[in-house]
Amino acid sequence: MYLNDVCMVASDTTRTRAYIYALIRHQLLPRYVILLNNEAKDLLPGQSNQKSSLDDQQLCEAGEDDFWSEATFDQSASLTSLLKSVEIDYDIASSSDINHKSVIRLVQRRPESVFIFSGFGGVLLKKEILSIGKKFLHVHGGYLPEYKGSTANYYSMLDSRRMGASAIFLTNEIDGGPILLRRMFPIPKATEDIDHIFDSAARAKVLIEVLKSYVDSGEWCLDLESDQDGDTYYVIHPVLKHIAILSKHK
Amino acid sequence: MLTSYFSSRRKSENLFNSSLEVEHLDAIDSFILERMGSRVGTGKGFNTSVMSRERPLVDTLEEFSVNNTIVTERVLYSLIVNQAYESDFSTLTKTWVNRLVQRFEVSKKLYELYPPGFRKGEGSSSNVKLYWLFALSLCLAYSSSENLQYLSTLLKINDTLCSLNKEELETHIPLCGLQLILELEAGYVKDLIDSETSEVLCI
Repeated sequence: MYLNDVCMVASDTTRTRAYIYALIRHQLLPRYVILLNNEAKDLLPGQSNQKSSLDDQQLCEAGEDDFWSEATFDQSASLTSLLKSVEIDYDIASSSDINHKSVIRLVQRRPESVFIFSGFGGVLLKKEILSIGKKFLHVHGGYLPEYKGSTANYYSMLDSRRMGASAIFLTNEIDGGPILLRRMFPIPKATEDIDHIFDSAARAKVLIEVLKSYVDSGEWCLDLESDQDGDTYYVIHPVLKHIAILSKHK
Repeated sequence: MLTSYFSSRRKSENLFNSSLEVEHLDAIDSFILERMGSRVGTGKGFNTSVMSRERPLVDTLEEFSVNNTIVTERVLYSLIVNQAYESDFSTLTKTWVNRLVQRFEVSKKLYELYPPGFRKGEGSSSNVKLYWLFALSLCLAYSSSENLQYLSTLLKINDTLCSLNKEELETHIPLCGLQLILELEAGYVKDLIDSETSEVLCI
């Protein structure tokens, strides 16, 4: 089933793979995808050239847990092959940056009004793209409004032994847009691959729930109109990240 | 990872183990170290009995505004004196600590001045005393709030300070003060490990 009025801006990251596998699995297909292209040799945030440290059996076991039902995806799958397999129209942008003029032009020429956003990590949408009349649906890794910013889930794991994912429409305030849906998740059994597997899986699960709600109701329902409170977090120090990963053992 | 963290911090603590007489410290630094020792439950490494008892005259936090140029050292002294005396983590203190955390995390630097707007810093960003004062403020902020962002930033600041050589540091910072922030940080990390994991550390 193709979603009316919904497209996607995606980068070549593990999170995008989690999203596309989930979208295919649930038959919630965007009309069109813009693939942001990283022509540089170096990996950008969100990319990984290493296979998960989890083996197939661990991933299957994780996937059997309802919370982690979107954790089973091929991290090295070709995005273009995936899109072709379900006949989703796509373009490959000449830039890795959604704020680049060429990408803005591609977004502007589409009639759809909502774009699922799955860009490279650390990229903020600037005024120009935010003012073209499209909405950008982003799933933040953290329970909003309490956990804004970067690596928020590691702080949340240490504070409450939980992770979160929150769907928002992006605005010019970091993680400050209206919240469509937020969910908490228990710390997975295999914490070794939070960054590329479980964070992506939690976000994919929330994305699917938001899209199902949109399909059912025909509108984008909000959980919280504004997201002004809460703390903003910055990249967690490796020592604290390590303690967060060990925290499952308590 | 954790064992190597503690081992490297212990090495730095030993390196900064100073026999500096406290009367050679500036009055304000003596005051801060004394109050820090009693406020956050340590006083090891220096003799607090001979330190200054008078609350030093510093600007009050209310006097600072992001609409004016901020002299970072002055706001840091004001913050620390305020934090050392307040029983809870006030909104104004939190606002200023958060502003400095944001500036440091974005640029990994602290500048001597921040022009109106408190965005891009000016002047030198290699004044090590600013980093030490900020670390003291973060120790107090974490001990009052247990907000892990403050501990994370403290770890980064201390990584930077530990990467500098002793001679470079001792001309700007009382080494016993450096030892204090490292001891406090290691204590916070150890407490966190004890509460979060079943990891048994040989430290």
